[in-house]
Amino acid sequence: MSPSVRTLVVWCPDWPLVAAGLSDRPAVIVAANKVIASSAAARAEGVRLGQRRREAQACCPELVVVAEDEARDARSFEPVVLAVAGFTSQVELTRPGVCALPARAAARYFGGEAALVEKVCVAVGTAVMAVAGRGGAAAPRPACCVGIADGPFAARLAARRGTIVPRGATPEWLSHFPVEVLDLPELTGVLRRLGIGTLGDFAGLGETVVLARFGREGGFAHRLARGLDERPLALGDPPADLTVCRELDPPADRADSLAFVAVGLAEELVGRLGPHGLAATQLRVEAETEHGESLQRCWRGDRPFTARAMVDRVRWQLEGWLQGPVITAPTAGVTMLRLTVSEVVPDDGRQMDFAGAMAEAGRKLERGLARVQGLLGHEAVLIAKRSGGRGPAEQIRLVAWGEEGEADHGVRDVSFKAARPKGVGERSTRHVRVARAVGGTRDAPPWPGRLPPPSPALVHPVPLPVDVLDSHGAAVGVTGRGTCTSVPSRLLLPIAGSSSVGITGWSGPWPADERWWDPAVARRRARLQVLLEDGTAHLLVLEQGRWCLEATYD
Amino acid sequence: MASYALAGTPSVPSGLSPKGITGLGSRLQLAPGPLLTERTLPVLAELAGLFPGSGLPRGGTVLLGPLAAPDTLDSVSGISPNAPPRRAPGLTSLLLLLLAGTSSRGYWCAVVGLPELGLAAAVEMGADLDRLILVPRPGSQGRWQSVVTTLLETVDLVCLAPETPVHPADARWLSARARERRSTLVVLDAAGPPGAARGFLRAGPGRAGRALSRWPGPCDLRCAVSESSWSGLELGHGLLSLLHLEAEVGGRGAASRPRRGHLRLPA
Repeated sequence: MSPSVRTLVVWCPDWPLVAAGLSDRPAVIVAANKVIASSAAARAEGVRLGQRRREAQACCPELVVVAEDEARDARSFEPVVLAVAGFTSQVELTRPGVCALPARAAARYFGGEAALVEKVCVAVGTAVMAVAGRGGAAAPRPACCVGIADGPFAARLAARRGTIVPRGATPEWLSHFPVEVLDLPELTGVLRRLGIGTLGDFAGLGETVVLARFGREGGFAHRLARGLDERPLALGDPPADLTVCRELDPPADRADSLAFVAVGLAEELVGRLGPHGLAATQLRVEAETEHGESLQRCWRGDRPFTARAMVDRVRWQLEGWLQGPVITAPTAGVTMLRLTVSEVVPDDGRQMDFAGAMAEAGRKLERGLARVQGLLGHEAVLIAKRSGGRGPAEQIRLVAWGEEGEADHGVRDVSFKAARPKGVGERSTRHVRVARAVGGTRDAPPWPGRLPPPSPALVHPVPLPVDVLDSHGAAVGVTGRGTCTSVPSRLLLPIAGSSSVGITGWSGPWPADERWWDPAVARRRARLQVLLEDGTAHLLVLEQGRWCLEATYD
Repeated sequence: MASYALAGTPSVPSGLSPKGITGLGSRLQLAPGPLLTERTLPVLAELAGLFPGSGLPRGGTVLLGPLAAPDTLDSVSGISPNAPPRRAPGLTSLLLLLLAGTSSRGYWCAVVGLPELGLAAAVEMGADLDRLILVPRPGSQGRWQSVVTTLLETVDLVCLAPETPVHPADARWLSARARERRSTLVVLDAAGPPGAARGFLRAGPGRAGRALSRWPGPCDLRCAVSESSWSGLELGHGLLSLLHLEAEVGGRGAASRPRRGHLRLPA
C-alpha cells in the first residue's frame, strides 16, 4: 500500500463561465443540449446542471446560453496555472478549472499548510479576477477554493469545502460523504440499492469482495473511498524511454502548426507504450522558443490518453501560452516540442471495430491525409459541414481535417438573449437554431428566408462585380420595400471583350437583413435569380448599392 | 463467389464473367468501404444506364469535358487572353451527381482544386459531406501532382480540376497511379486561359469545338453535357426549379459507342 501524497487542489468554481466572461450574469454552458455549467446568478433562478436548455430558459428568461468549448476554457486557465506555478514547479492540470500540486515541500517553505492555502488563495483569486475582468465581468464569489488532503481525490473534495484535512485523517474524513461524490452513477446506483450510502460503508467492504462484484472500476472506487491513491502503482518497470522530442526548423509560432507536429509525437508515444501493454495517464508537455523561453505543463487524465487527447492538450496549452498575457507570451517561435509520459497504467485494450479491415482502411486514410497536410499545411485539407444560412455560401462551413470533433461543438460566439423586445422574438429563435444546426444534428432545421433548392452548383469565392441594367440602360436598384426600381433586362459583366447579355427570366429580389442587432456583423442584402439569353442561370446579390454575381446554377 | 469477395482477393479469377462480378457488387453495396474485387464505383441510379458496368471504372480516368478530342493547336489562337475559362454548362452538376453517387455509398471522395464547388447543391443531390475531402488550393506547380498522387493512394475517387493545362507527362503519370491503386481519377476539364474565374459565361457556338483541353493524357471515359437548360424562371416571377441535362458518355472499350441520356434535376 503506497502512502498517499499530500495534495493541494485549487478549484475555480464555474470556470467555464469565467472563461466565457459571463460569471456575473445568469448564464449556462450547454453541451448536447444539456446544461453542464451554470453561473451563481443562474442557479439562484433555479437552473440546475443536467437540465435541458429549454428547461433552463424557462427558469430564467434572461439566460445567456453558450456552447461548450474546452479549448477556450483551457486557454483562459493559463494565467491561473501561472499563478499557482509560483509556488511549486510541479503543477498538475486535472482539467480547466482544477489543478493540483504536491503540498508537502511547499507547505514547509511557506510556513505551514494554512499559510500556504492563504497565499495560494490570494494569488489565484487575483488571477481569476483578471481573467473575468477581461470580459468585463466580476469574478464569482469565492473566486477560488483551495483544500489539502492525502491524495488528489480527497483533496478535490477538501477544496470544494475549503478545508485542510489533517495528515492521516483522510479516510475518517471521507467516510461521511455520500457515495455520489465518486461520480460513477452506475456504481453508486447499485450501492444505494444495496443500502450502502456513505463512503465509510463502502470502504468497510472487503477489497476482494468489491473487486469480484464490481470489477476494475469498482476496485478503483473502493481505493478512493478508503482514502488511497486512485491507481495502484504500475506493476513492472515502465519502458525506459517515454520522451519524444522534435526540433522545429523553421520555428513555429502558431498553435495549430505545433499541434500538427504533436500528432506525430503522440502517435509515436502511444506506439511505444503499446507493446508493453501500457497507456499514459499523465503527460508532460514542454515547449521552448528561439529566445530560450520555455513552458512546461503536466496534464493528468481521468482515463488513459489517446493520441488525439494528447494532441488536444498540446493545442490548449500552446494556445494559452501564445495568445496569453503579453508579459508571459513568448517573444519568438517555438523551436522544440517535447512530450513525456510520466505515469502509466496497464492498458485494458479497446474493443476493435466489427471488421478489422475497416479500421485498417481508416488508418490508411488518416495517414494519406496527414501526408497531404504535411505538404500543404494543416488548413489545406478540409471537410464540409452543414450550417445554417440564407445564401448558398453560408449553408456550408469548412473545417480542417482532424478538427471536426472540436468544431462540431465549438459554436463560438453564438450566444443569444432570449429576452428581446416584443415583436422581434421570432428572430431570436432563428438565432438559436444556429447553435443547433451547427451542433451536430444531421438534418438541417428549417431556415426561414433561405434560398429554395436547387442550390447553385458553383459558388464563387470572390463574387464578380456586375451591372444590372434596365431596357433604357439605367442601373437597377432595390427599394427599401424590397422591389426592383425597374425591370432588369441586361447584365453587364466587366470583363474585357464581353458585352452585356440579355436577361430572359428573373425573380426576386429577396431581401436578407441579417444580424441587424450587431452593427459589427450586420449585413443587408438582396438576391436576384436571373436566366440569361445564353441559357446560363445565376444568383446576383446587391449589397451597399453594388451588384455582384454570387453563384452560378451550372 | 462471395467468399472471394469477402476474403478480399485482389485479382479476379479469370473464369468469372464481368457481369457476374458487377452483380456481386450490387448485392454487396450495403457494405461500407470498398471491396477489392469490385470493378466499378457506384453511380446514382439515374446515371447507371450511361456507364458501362453501371458505374465509374475503378483505376480508370474519367474526363468531364467535350466529347470529341479537342484540337489543342487550333484552339490557342481562338481565345482572347482575358476571357474567362469556359467549361461546358451543366458539367458541374454532372460532377456533383457523380460525387453524390459515390460518397452516399460510403466511398471516400476528394476534390482537388475547384474552390467554387457548391456543396449545398451536393447535399441536395444526396452527397455525404463526411466522405468528401476538399483540397481547394492544391499548391503551385510541382506540389499539386504529389497531392493528387497521395490522394489516389488514399481515397476511392479523386476529382481534379486543373488550374492550368496539365503537362502530358504528369497526366500520364497520374493515370498510371490511378490504375495501379485502383482508384478513379475524374478530371474536370475546362477551356480557356488559366487562373481566371470559371463558369461565368457559356462558350459561344462558334468556339465550342475549338476548346483547349487542360488534360492531354489518356482517359477511359469521356462524359460530356451536350445541352443544359433551366426551366421555371419567368420574367419577374417563378423560380429556377428544373435543370434538363443531355449527357453523353463515350470512351474506350465497352464505351466506344457513346451512350446518351436525358437527366432532370432535381429528380
